[in-house]
Amino acid sequence: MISTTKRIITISSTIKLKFLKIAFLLPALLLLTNFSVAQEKSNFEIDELKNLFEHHHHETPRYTQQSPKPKNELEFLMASGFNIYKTFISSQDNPSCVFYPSCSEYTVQSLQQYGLFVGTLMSFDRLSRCHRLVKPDQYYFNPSKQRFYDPVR
Amino acid sequence: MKLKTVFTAIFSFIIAFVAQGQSIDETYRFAEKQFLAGNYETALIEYQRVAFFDAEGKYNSVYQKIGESFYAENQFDEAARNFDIAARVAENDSLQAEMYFKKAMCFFKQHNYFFALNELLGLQPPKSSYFQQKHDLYTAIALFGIEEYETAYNHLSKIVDEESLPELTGIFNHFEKIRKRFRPEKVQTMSTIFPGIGQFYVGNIGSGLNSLVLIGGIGVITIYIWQSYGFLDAVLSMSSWYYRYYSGGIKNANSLALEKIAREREITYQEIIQLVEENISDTE
Repeated sequence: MISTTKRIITISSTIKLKFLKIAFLLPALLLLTNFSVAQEKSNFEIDELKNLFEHHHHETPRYTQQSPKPKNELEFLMASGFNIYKTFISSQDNPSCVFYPSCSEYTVQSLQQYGLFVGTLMSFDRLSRCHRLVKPDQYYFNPSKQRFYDPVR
Repeated sequence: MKLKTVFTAIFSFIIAFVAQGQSIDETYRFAEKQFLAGNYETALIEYQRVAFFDAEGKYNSVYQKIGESFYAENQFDEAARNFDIAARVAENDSLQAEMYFKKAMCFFKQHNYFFALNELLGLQPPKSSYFQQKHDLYTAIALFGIEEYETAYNHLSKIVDEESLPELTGIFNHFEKIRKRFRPEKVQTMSTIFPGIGQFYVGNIGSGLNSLVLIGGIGVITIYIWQSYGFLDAVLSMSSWYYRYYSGGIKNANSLALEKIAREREITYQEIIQLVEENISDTE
């Protein structure tokens, strides 16, 4: 009788032990599986792939003021003229300028940096140089823009 | 003087015996630390040092690290080159495949989809669902990049489950419809027939009106000169202006159509990636 009870106790304790083992092992295995799937998911590098075909909208260049002072009448005229030209006329034109910054942008920059007299002279000089017979060895050619680089110096 | 020389000599010998250079393991550990801290530039120098002095090939994984450091620094050409070396010295097929995927990613970042496709088509990924899915996804992206949309769809349909397949088909069909509707040649022809119509069709009313008014204005001035000075004067003085803005309007309509398609392409791609992401998380 005692031996049977002992046997029952031994069997029940073995079952308990087995149950405990399973209870510990199962969550551990589940955790491991989750971890490996999470690893695999991150390995797809979806975040890196997300912005591959981002479209860049072409913005019409706008007049940017260089000095913090409020615009005077002349500067206001120049800014308005530039913005109107860029928005309504240049936007409908063939890409004809061989340089960048374009002749209109160059004019604005030269007037801003050198004043009315020298700026006007520089703009005329630029306009006289802007043609298809430009000497390629005199300027740096930018392949991405397909234009020669000629900044205000 | 003699004493000074003797002292200097002894001191130099002691220093020479005591001093030790940084070992390759230490350099690697230091590089790892820098990499984890996000100091990729420093990490890169140290990793390159390890690669240079590692004659036994103990640190073959260093090429992957060099590639990753270059990638983090947005130097994709160098990154691709090092991922290629890493793939060649990889210890197993899985690692090798991962390196080729990373190389393809470098080409994606450069928008060089032909090169990426070249890598992916030459790759035999290990036979696990993860690698097959990744291979299909990357190949689909490369094909999408070179505008082979139908083949891209075929690869993507292998990734998504049957429930999501109609959604994927819908996304591709919608994009195809937009591409056909705003075909640049068609829009360009419309603006050739009547200035501004192509721009109106694309939905850019402002640009269409601008073109119409500009060319109309040139036409009005031409007629005015014709009436005042004669036909030849009108043609000679205004034809170059007319040609410039008429052909400019046509090109403008073309670029607007291309822009419209590019915008739609971006939206389509985002939708696809979102769908793929959901399907990948569904497989968990």
